[in-house]
Amino acid sequence: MNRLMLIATLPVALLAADAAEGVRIKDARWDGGLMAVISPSPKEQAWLAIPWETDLTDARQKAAAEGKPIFLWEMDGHPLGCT
Amino acid sequence: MADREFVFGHPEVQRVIREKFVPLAMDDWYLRRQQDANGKFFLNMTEQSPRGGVGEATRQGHYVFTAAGRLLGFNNNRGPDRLLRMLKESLAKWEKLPPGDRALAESIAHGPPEERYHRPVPKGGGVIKVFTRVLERGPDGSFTRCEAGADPDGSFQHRGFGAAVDHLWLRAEDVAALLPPAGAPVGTPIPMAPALSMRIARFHLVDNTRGEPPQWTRADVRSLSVAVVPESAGRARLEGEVSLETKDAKRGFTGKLSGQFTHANGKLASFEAIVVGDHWGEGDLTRGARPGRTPIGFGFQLASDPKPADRIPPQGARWLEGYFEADRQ
Repeated sequence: MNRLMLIATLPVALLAADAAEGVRIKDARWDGGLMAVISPSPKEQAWLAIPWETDLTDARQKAAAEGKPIFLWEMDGHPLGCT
Repeated sequence: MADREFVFGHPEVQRVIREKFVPLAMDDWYLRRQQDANGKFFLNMTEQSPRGGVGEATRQGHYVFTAAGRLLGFNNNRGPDRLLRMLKESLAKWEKLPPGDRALAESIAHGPPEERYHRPVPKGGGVIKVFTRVLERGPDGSFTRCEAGADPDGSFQHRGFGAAVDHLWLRAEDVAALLPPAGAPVGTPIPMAPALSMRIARFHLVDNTRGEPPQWTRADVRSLSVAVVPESAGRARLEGEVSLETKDAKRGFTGKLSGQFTHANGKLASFEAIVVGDHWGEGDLTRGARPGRTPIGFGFQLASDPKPADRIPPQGARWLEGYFEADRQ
């Protein structure tokens, strides 16, 4: 805790490496740098390139209209969030 | 969640699903319990799979089925190769179906949802994306990502080094209570409403990087102080400290919060906050935590134009009243 309090008194963070591969920041005071460290990298968000439906009826209607089967990713805890 | 990166981030998996299927993602906890039309359809479809006959037990996995509910494929394996094999075998079955079996016999419409499992985004409120990541602290006190998330042994097991995702929901009354009143003195802290600060602490400062985490009880909240500090008209910063610990002291978190938001016409225009501190312990479904007290960071960011994936209810909202009234329930 003391270390965190010390960190919080330091100047605004500076980025020193590419955000997608691991950012080094200089302190933990509010700044966009630490948010970039915590947030998902583009690689971690690649799964969002799949246009997931989130409603079963919508998916059935779309499947019938497009002549496709449905692929369901079903998890305890929503696959698109929660964990 | 390892599946997101290792399976659904895989280029060939993405290509096949995008081109050949209607992709759908659902929360089994809700769907397997629902008694409405969607729940009954799901039950009938999954009864054709190896999950059939399990009653109210989990039915999670990967399914391929027709719009009318005929099962074409199932697996519950991690690994893109196994999924691709199942998808291709399912497509082969699909190709052999008579055209009438690929379509719906009659059009379907949305039926009334079962209210106790229905989780619409609160009207007039807001959706805050919440990201969680375990961190490493350098000798100079800086924080970096942990680097060993590349599945070196090919087992596609989750090591907890990726960013986890959840959503913090704000009701209209939460937003109204968050915004400083007109004329509030600049620089004078205003305590955040307990319903919101306790919601953040109990349901969103959890280590969900290796799966569904245990949440904090009210008694686990040893100290909590979050304040809104007006900075100028329409702008305020957030600052706070939190200490959480279970009764047996086996799991806990201490950290500091900082953030900022802007608002106009009674609505949030932006919201960003981070909480960084040290976490220790694990839950029954989140084994594999690093030993001792280790850094973890939580990022909060307003979803200003929520997409379907942003509308997923918070993990902590399975008991909705308890989630929204986290200071009293």
